[in-house]
Amino acid sequence: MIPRGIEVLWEQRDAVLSGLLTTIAITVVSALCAVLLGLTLFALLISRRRSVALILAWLIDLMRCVPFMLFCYMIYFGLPSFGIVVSNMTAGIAALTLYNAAYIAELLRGSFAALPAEGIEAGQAFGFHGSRLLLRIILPPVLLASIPMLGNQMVQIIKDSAFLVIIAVQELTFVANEVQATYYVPFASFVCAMLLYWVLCLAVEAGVRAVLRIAEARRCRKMPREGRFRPSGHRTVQILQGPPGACGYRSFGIGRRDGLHSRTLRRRQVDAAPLHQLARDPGQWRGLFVG
Amino acid sequence: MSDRELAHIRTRIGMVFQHFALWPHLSVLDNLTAAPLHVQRRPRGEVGEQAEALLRKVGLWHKRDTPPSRLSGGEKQRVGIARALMMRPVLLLFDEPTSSLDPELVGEVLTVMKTLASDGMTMVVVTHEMGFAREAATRIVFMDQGRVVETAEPETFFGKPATDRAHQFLARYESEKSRTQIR
Repeated sequence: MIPRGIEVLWEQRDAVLSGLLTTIAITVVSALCAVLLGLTLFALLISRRRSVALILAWLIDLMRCVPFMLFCYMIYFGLPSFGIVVSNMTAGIAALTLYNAAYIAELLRGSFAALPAEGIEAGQAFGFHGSRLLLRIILPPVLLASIPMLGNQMVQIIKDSAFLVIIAVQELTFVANEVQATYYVPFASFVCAMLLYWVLCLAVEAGVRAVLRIAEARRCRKMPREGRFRPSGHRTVQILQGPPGACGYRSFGIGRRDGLHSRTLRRRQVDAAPLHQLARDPGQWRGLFVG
Repeated sequence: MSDRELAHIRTRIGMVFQHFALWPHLSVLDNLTAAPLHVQRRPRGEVGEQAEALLRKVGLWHKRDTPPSRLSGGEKQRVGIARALMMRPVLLLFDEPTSSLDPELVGEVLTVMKTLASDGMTMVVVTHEMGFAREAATRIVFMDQGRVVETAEPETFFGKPATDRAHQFLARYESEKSRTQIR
């Protein structure tokens, strides 16, 4: 059965590819629209007009409590009751956009709540207000902190796009279902679809890692070499040497670096791989602490 | 007063925060130039020149591209002072600028502040550094429980305080100072 399934899928590769491209198109358009709408909702959520923020918070909570399938049905089958008739593709993209924009607004709000208030107070003290305060002072650190969570939400959009089969959008799950129903190869058909969804999610994860790497590289591009991010997996130990009793060290997890500097201390940075060797020669590493 | 009017007034009043409040997503140089460029809308060339001059003055030009997380406390506070000066304020506010710093770094910041004072900058400083207040201030405002208790010139305040509360405070300060000196 399985070899036949693979044979059938190979014969139907054009249809499978079409379904995959439809899924990619739906996901990209929905993700872009959801991020833009989510940013707008976030700006209103943190508004000082409490009534606006409160009403929006309720709407977002409502959206997060409704099953996506139900929401899809409502958009496609319910809106015509009010004279709004849209195609299944438009309804699907609208449902994905509205549904995920609520989640994105909430996760951005969470990142904002974790942001130290002093930076924002400093922005206000220097005359930033309104959209300038939001765009220059609030959004950059919020977005930087939210990149991994936004990546998760993109993966969620990819998976939610499979629900659009209920309104006959001819995306990947729809095509896989058609193939298995026509040729009786359910296992091969659905495993193929799963693998393709997995590849899409891997692409999103790779994109998130690339964005984080670019952000870190931009932060460190003109720093001294010892300050560079080291993604190689080595633990990096920063050792501060100085007079006996001098304080100061940091040990870091993989790829992380934090700073503790003093002009009165010299510092060196070494690989922690031979850490046990360093411990054997304490005289050389005066002031070393590892924790 | 509308937000816009308040923001306009704030552009003429510089503030230095207790916990530095540098913008973490910007380098040292970008921290200095952000407000003059995007709030005051001054030309980029002029802002760049002023930023370089101020960073050289506080001794941090070599760290212009460093993110704030990689600076020591004293360096962060000096950047904070330079950032406030970039706005060409008529008044500088300092909220306990040295209280978050270790004693080694307090001196760096106080030196910069004394230089500003000698250059004639109007400053309102909330501080517990009695020695600095005595040396640099033209007027002392002593507060307790959120209320102004006494205002006087430094010689008068430290030599012959008018109120009992100020007298009590200074007596405790002197005894603590002499106790730590004996140690």
